[in-house]
Amino acid sequence: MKRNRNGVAVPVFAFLAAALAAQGASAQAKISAKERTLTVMLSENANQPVKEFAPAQQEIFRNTNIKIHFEPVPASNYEDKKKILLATDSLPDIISVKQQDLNDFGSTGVFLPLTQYLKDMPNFRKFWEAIPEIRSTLVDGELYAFPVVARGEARNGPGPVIRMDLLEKHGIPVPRTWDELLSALAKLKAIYPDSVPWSVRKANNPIPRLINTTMYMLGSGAGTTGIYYEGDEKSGRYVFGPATKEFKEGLRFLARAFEAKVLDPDYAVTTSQQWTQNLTSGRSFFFNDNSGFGLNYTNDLRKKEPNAKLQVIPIPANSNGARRAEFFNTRLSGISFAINAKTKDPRTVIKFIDWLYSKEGSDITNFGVPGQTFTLDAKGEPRFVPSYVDKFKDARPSPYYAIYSDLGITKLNFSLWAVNTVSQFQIEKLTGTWSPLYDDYWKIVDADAAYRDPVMDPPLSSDEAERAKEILASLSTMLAQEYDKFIMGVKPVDQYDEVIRNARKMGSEELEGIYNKALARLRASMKG
Amino acid sequence: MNSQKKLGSRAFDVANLIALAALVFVTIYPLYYIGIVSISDGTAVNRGDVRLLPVDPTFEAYLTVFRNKDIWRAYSNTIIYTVAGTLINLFFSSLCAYPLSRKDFYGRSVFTFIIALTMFLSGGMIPLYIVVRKLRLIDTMWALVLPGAVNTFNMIIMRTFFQGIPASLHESARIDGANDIRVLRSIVLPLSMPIMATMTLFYAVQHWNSFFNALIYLNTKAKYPVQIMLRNIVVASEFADQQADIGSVSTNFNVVAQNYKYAVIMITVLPIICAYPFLQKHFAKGAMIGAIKG
Repeated sequence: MKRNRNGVAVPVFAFLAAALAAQGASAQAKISAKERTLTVMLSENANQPVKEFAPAQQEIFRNTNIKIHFEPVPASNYEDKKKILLATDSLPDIISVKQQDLNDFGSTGVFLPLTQYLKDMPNFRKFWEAIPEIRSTLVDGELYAFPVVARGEARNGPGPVIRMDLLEKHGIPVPRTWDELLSALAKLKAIYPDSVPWSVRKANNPIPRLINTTMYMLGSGAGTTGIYYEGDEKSGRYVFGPATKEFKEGLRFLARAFEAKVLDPDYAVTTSQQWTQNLTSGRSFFFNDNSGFGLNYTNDLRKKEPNAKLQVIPIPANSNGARRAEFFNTRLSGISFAINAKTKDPRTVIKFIDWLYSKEGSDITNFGVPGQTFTLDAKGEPRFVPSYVDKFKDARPSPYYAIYSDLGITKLNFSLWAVNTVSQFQIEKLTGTWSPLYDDYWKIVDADAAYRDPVMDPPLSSDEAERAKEILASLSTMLAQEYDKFIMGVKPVDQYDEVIRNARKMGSEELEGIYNKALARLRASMKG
Repeated sequence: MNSQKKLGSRAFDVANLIALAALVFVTIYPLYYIGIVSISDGTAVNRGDVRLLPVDPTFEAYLTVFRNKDIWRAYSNTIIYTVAGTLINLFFSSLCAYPLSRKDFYGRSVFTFIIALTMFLSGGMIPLYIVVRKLRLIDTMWALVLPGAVNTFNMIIMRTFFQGIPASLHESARIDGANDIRVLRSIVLPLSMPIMATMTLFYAVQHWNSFFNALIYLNTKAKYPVQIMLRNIVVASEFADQQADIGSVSTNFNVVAQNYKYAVIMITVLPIICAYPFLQKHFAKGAMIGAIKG
């Protein structure tokens, strides 16, 4: 009875709230007095095509009198087009940019400097104060772009994923240390001689993916270039991983994995597609990469082996007894939008952007039309309307992408306080594509104290960036040839000391110095 | 002795046959593979089970493509750009090639030199973009068909072919009262069908495959040609990889399915593949004639 009453009360309340909100908006002066069109250029993901004037944009127009005209550029070539527009100074009003563009073009005056408007942006200022990382995006002390802030993002990261069903079947306990993991995989190798237990895909970075994902957990680190942040958020420092003793110990572990035939002998050249094949065909039992892939691969595996289960395990302890891993960045989404310096009436644009950071703006840009596609629950959190979601049950590539595309919402569209996982989970639960495996997955990751938030690199001055690039280029060339020799046993790991000496000679310490100096500057600016 | 020689030559034939069959196989297999993957089950493709025959055949990937309105619109755009672009190309190229082919054209070598120079020196991307923008062609079809209206290399092949037409034909036409336009239309072009067919194919394929110009000059999605869609779909999964490399949040595990990708490839390359056999006889003949007499 009580449940029933609640069930009625919530939609009624939500409807009233929505009606009141709509009234409030029309009663107040809208953000733009006259009808105005803003052109927004963004990168279009093939999974989520961008539609012109979709319901969310119509709703934005009703609330603000501002029409958004999209210039979607295929993600595959977004960089090419953006570079030409930047070089010829033909930007649209609002453009999706990367940190590198701000560093390169901030001083040329193509982007509107934003610090002067901060005081007029109550909604954005809340994020500015709460998320210190935003200051890492400053260029010579000036803010040139608005970062897309993640809203209620479920956190995950690279993590070890293993065939739990096989461990159970053969009575192998879930490994709690990296050494146990090695012996567990060796046992599986003995039972399935044709298998390659640990599959790895290659990356186009200077640092191979195997080292990028695994080395940090093993007690060293390398990031994507070699330089990484070591220690806790307040007191840590930057270290050039490959030039450390800890890194050598990490290599020793990987060399053991290779020698025991646990690590795929082709690990250095396996493409993503081959890697997927290995895991979905049952040829491989373990990977240490974005652990979310395990969910997809389990679905594929189950078509042949109904009990198969690839699941993330709590991070194993390394040789120092420490359990450590890094989340992906879940506070900022990595996308930011700059404003063309030549845009007319920038104050209105700024007001509009600030509105997009508000709860009202965020609800619309992530859930669509209030009352029609979403309602607010008792806590004021938006929830999709089931009858709307139902229409997309069989949509491709997935119901949630189809809905995002239909409404023009979430972080792959134009939203500044953007939802990603929250809406995905809601839709998957409503359409029945959710599985208990997913619940387990997020619970395991969430309960694992080993993960910490990543630290964003501090802003380097242009001279520092230039010098860092120079040092890194020569270091990367030298090191790229070395890792595999030690892992594959061509050279004994004890000889790695020589590589460390070479790296120091080539300026690894100067590189650390550059980053740590920039870090100190950033910390000082946050106190001030 | 004789029979031995025969044996040797037969062995050679067999070896030849095997080698050429292998060559045919490696040439055709990639295309065939794209075909069978496009009609196979997505999971089987992921597992790597698709090798020689389609597994669990399904046209689901094609249905998904056909349901995508964006792709249809892009497809019709591509056809419009290709037809209009090719007509413009042929028109201007022949107008340019004809005078340059006439020995009595004053300043012929100077003009030829100036035009040929553009084959080796170009203004570069940025200045070209600025010119197109100043002409207000950005985000219009004309940005795709006008800047490249005459392809120097193609035009020179055409000129060389025109030169092969005896001057006495021109003279007799002139005696009959034809002016230059008439000579071009009634004498030169009808005699140059092989080269026109070749050029049609060259230009049409170029327009059909053109993607970069459309990418930079067009801003509105409704005007995009199909190659932009194709590239986005095909490169999407690689792109998803890169994102994961950067370490941004990537909980969107669905990358574009392989069979969907390949279905789009099939749909976009088929028309051109079908056109080839019909134009091919002109194609080989025309290109050769132009080259030898040059």
